Amino acid sequence: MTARVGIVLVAHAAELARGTASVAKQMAPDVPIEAVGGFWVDGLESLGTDVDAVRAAVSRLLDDGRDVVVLGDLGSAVLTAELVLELLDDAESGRVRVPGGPFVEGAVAAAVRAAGGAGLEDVAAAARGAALIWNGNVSGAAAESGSRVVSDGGEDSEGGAVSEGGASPEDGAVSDGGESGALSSRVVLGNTTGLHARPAAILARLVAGFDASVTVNGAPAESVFELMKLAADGGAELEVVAVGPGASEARDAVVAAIASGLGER
Amino acid sequence: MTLGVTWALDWMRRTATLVVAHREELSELDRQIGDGDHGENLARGFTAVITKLDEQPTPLQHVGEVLRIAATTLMSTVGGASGPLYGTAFLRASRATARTELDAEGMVALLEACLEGVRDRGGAALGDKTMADAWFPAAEAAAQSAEHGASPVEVLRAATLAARRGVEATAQLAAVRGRASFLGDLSIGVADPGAASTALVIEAAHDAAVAAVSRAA
Repeated sequence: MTARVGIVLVAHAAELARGTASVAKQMAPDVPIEAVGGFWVDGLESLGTDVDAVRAAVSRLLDDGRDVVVLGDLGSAVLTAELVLELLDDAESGRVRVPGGPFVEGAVAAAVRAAGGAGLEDVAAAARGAALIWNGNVSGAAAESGSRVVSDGGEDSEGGAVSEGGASPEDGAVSDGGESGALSSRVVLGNTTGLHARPAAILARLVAGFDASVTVNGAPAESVFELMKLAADGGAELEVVAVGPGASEARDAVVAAIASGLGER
Repeated sequence: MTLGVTWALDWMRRTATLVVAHREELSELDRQIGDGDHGENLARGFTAVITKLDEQPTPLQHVGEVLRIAATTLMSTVGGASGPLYGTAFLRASRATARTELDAEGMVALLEACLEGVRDRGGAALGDKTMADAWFPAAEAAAQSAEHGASPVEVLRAATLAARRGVEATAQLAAVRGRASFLGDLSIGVADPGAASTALVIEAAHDAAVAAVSRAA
C-alpha cells in the first residue's frame, strides 16, 4: 500500500531527528520521512530549528504528491513548523498538518498509520493520540515485569515489549461481541517475545490492507500502541474479531500472521 | 513629524548594535531559565538583517519593505524560537506599515501588529513570561500616548519605558511556555530573555526616532 502522507520530523539536533526517523522507518519502511535537525551555520551545527530547511522538506513531499504531517521535538520546533505552514500558499497549507504530540511515539504512530494508506487527518490524529500510551501505566507494568525483552538479531529491544500478562484494554476498543457479521477466532501468538513494537507494527500494517475492522483482544489492530498495550506474551491466546466486507480474509490473514509469530520465532 | 524608510533602516542598525552589545546579558538570562543561546541567536540574526539590507540593489521605499526583509532574514538565521517569533512580528508589522511615512497612529499600528504576530505564533497570554509581556505594555502605552496627541518619538518613548517595566515584571513570574516552562516556579526571579530583547528592539526604534528628529531640526 502506498503511503499518501509523508512525515517531516523537526528536532533541535540532527542526531535526534535522524534517529527518530530511523525508529519510525523500522516499522514503516515505505513511508517517506524527512529528518530536519539542528541549525547549521557555515557547516557547523548548533542546536535549534531551521525554518528554511523545514520548508524545503515539506515542499519536497508536497511536490512528490504526498500530504504532510510535521512533528516537532520541543515547543520552538512546533513554532517553526507552524510558521512554515503560514508561509505556504493556501493550496499547499491545506495539505499539511502540525498536530502536536510526543515526538518519538508520535512519529512511530504516524508512520505506521501512513504506511497503512491512511489520509492526512488520520495520520495527524495518530501522532496526537500517541500521548495516550502513557496513560495506560506502561511504565508501571515495565517496572513490575522487570524482565528483559530480547529480540532476535541483536537489535535493541526497547519500548512496549513488556511481558506482563493480564493487562486489559480499557479504552478505545471497538466492541466486538454481539455485532452481527463479526467473525472471530482464537489463536496462539507464535513468537516468544510477545506482541512488542515490531510485531505490533507488522500486524497494524497487515490489517490496513483489508476492508475490515479488526480487533485483537478488543484492541483495534490498526493501532500499534493499542496492540502494545495488550502486553501479550509469546504463547498467549488472542481473540481476533473482524467486521466488514473483507472480514473473512482479514481474520484469516491476521490469524495466520499471529500464529506464525509476526516475523519472529 | 513622521518617520519613514530612513528611520526604519536606522532602527534595524541600532537594533543590531544594541543586541550585539547585550548579547552576553541576554544569553545569561537564557542560560538561567532556557537554553542559553538567545543573545547569540539574535546577534547573528540582526547582523544578517543588516547585511541583507546593505545588499539591496535599489533603495527601499517603505518602512514595510525594510520590515519584510528583516522578518524573512530573522526567520532564516536565528535558529531558536525567537526567529519565528520576531519574524512573524515584523512580517505582520510590514503589512501594517505598507506606506511611506508613519505618524503616531502608524507607529501604534506597527507595535500592535508586532504584538499580534508574537501572540499568534507563540500563543502566549499576558503574564506567561514571554516576549509578549514586553510587546503588550509597549503597544498599550503607545496607543495611550497617541490618543493624547503624542508625536511618533513620544509614542516610542512611552513604548520603550513600558516595555522595560514589562521586562522587570517577568522576573516575578513563573514561565508557562517554552523551555523555561520545564522549570516552572524555579524560573521565578529571572527576567524573560525574550522580553528583554524586545525592550532593546523597541528602545532602538526610539533611539532612531530621536536621531531622525535631530537630523530634521
